[in-house]
Amino acid sequence: MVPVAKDFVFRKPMVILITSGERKHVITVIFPDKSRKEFAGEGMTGEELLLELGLNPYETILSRNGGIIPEDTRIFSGDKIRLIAIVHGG
Amino acid sequence: MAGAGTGKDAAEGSLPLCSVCGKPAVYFSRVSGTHFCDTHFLSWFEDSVRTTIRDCGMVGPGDTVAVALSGGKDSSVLLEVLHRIFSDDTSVKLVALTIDEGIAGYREDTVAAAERLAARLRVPLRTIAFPDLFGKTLDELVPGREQVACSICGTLRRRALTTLAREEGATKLATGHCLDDESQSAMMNYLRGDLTRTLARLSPGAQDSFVPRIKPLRYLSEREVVTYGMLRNVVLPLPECPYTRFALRADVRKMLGTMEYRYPGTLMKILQGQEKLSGKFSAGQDSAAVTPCPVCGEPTSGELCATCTLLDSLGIRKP
Repeated sequence: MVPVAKDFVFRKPMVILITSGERKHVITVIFPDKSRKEFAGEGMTGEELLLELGLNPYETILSRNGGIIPEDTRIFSGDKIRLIAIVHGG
Repeated sequence: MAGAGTGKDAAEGSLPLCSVCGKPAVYFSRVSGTHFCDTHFLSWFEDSVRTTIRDCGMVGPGDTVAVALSGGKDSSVLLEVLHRIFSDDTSVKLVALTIDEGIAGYREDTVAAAERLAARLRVPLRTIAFPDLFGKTLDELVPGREQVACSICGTLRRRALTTLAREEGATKLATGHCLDDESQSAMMNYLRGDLTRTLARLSPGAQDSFVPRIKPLRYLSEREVVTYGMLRNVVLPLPECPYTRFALRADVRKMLGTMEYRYPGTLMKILQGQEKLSGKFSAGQDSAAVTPCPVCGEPTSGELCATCTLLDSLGIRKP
């Protein structure tokens, strides 16, 4: 069972947003609004990534390189992670 | 979208494995601690819907089930799963109903999605627009009343669905309300101090209409519904309804989403508590308290039904 974090507060970043320079070892995150950001961070779980981004893991589904993954999957450089928000009007 | 997972991932230990078969997982249930691969998630989901339908006596031989199909994710999943469950059962008929409320920049895409899905599944589809029944679109009714847009829309949409369902000879009206919707509604009723709705409105098949309503997805979470829809390719990126941000539901949804993450199972506990409460209350109630509305003839527990009361307040007479 994945340990349940008790808050979503961003405290000590495990992931580092890459804005320029070295781009070989990065995790690409595609947000629900289709914007993209690149991060450095090796071996964290999808849940940890979402918490670092300030998102509720219950409300977000992850896909890696085109396929759905559980939030306790470990993520490595080269992965392309898409975030799908489950909350939607309709 | 297919399930993820490669042999390499599993070998490296980066991808959790299905608790049933050991293949790469696509879903993790925090409540049960179970991982599912795509195949076992789909069969678990469909079995859950079958169980709800059976245990709650929602559908039987000879039923014509009208499925409220907005074209959004929940209703699209509902039609897909009901079609799969009843595709070999000639004693049950499905018909899809789509209501075009007239929400510019939103409803056009979802109505088109509803039409595509119904055509693919070969389920007959009836569509009706708010102006056909009420003379105005939702966009024309809402200005100055944004805070209650969802309430206006919901009341009129329920009436439109009931009207269409009756015209189609439906014996059941199925809606795509999932566990999140149901627990949010229960919490909203508490927050509003609305004892009548708290005790009466959340039964598995509400009987406040001549066409009984059923909610086959009510014990499945939004997360499970979206995952199923993605795996079955029925959930598409669609625009968000522009009115949802005004609603109390948006705040309640956020609060309960946080609670569900921190304390998995919270949504189900809210719904189960609600069912116990309404079960105890309804056991001592007289069902004859519901009478026909003097204006439109629909069942109501008050003097005028909710729709006629709303139409009066909006300055519109009965449809």
